[in-house]
Amino acid sequence: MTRPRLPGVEEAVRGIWPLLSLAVILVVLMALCSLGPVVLQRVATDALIKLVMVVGLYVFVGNSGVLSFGHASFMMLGGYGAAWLDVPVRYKSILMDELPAFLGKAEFHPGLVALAAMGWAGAFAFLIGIPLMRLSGIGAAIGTFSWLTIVFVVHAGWEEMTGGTSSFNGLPIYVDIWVALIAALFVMLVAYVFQTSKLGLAGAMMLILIFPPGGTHGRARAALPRLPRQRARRAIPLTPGERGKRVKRAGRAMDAGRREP
Amino acid sequence: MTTAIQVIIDALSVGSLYALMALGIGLILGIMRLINFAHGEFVMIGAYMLMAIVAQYEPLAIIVSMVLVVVLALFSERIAFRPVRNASPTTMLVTSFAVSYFLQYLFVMIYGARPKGFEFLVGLAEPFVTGAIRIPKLNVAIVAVTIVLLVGLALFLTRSRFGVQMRAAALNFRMARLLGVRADRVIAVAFALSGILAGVTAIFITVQGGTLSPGMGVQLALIGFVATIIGGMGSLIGAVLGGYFIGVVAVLLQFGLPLEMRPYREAFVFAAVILVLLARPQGLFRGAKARERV
Repeated sequence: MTRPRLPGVEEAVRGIWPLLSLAVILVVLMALCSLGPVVLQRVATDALIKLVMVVGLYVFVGNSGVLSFGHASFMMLGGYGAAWLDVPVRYKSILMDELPAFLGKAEFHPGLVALAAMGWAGAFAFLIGIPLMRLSGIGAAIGTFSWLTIVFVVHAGWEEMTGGTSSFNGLPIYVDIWVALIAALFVMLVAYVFQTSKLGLAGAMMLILIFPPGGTHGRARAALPRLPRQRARRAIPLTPGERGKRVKRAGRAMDAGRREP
Repeated sequence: MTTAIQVIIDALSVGSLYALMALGIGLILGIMRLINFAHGEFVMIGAYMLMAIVAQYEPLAIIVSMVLVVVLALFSERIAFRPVRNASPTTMLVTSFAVSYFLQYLFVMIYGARPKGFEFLVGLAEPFVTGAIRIPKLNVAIVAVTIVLLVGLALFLTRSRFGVQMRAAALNFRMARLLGVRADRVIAVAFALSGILAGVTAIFITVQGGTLSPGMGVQLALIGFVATIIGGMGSLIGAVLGGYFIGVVAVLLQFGLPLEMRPYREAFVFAAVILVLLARPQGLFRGAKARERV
């Protein structure tokens, strides 16, 4: 005999409440900021961009426990990737005239370019993740730091493509407080879905494998051959009322033809 | 042939500097499992103290600067690291970042963020000239002093009472305390040794580079940290070898890469680091602690 199930809506809201509450707070806060002076809006936009950075980092670090120093490299890849496709051709032909032809003549809508840049950075992240995730713990952290250095050095050195250490000017400015807010909400949704989905739970299990609760000694102990365990017998409750209830239940079960639990 | 000798000496001297940094970080890592990013700042402060004190008498500046760095190391251990000694590794890491940033910006406040030029021990810049070979005296000095320090450290760790206690503490801290090793004293000695290493590194970095800036320690600390990890966490020999590995690879790449690829030298160095980690995730040398005992 089980309690009646909760209606589906209430369960769904309860499940998504962590995300929903934060999103509502964020939207209200940004709506208030958008009424303020331009300086406040810039600060709020900057805060939202940093939120995107941190939540993106959390998707990896929070679920796997590995400190990733390489997160900034993906920002670099995404930024320059977007710049190659975003900057109006009239700027590119003057400032960055050594770009290859298919980039020098490219100019697309910033929204599409953002998606393309996400794909560009994501592809590199996936590719470098394959070897790096064979490492664990601090080795993986060093690996990500090495990746960061590699990406930084390549971008800083390849002057024809990136302008080297001087800046790549001319990108269209389209991120105001509302665009940043949409990006922040999107990232929060992705992080939440990842965390509660099967992929995220698998990540949580990896975390337990890499950092087992008993320490690495626990892992060594677990590697020893195990004796077959006996099924533990539950302790018999002592109060007469409880015992009486169990006897009655056992009797009813035997009457119905089932084995005594 | 002459270029080969010069490249080898160059590689050894760069490797020695990185090895000293890695040793300074590895000593504390082995005992406390704390990654001391503030070690770079110890080096930076040592260099600035050289500049502040030099006056006319250079050996005095060296002695006073090293004493000050050791005092700073002990002070930071007492104030910043002792309260978090038993906290999680992440807390200790964040504490060391905090100390590092604090010291950096303290010196930005005092001296300004612009790099300052500083000539020290100018005589070391001249080379030994034998035939066609010109070896800067500085490189020879670095290699020689590093060898002396390594031998001295090895003797200290194997022969002296404190050294043996430190090795015991690095192996199993709790057991060592149960056997009578004083934790405070051992950790203080470790920090003092790391301060001495930082002071020596500061001298060589100053003579080699000629400029001081508050951010000069960050790059060194990062390389020292990477060297410690690829050498094997908790192993001092590994830290030294990791430092030499990175130094030798960097100089060989600088010498061997084609001209267009030279700006990307660091990328190749760190690609080599990734390959080493993939080949031996525990590092080149596994410390005594990492060996599984079943």
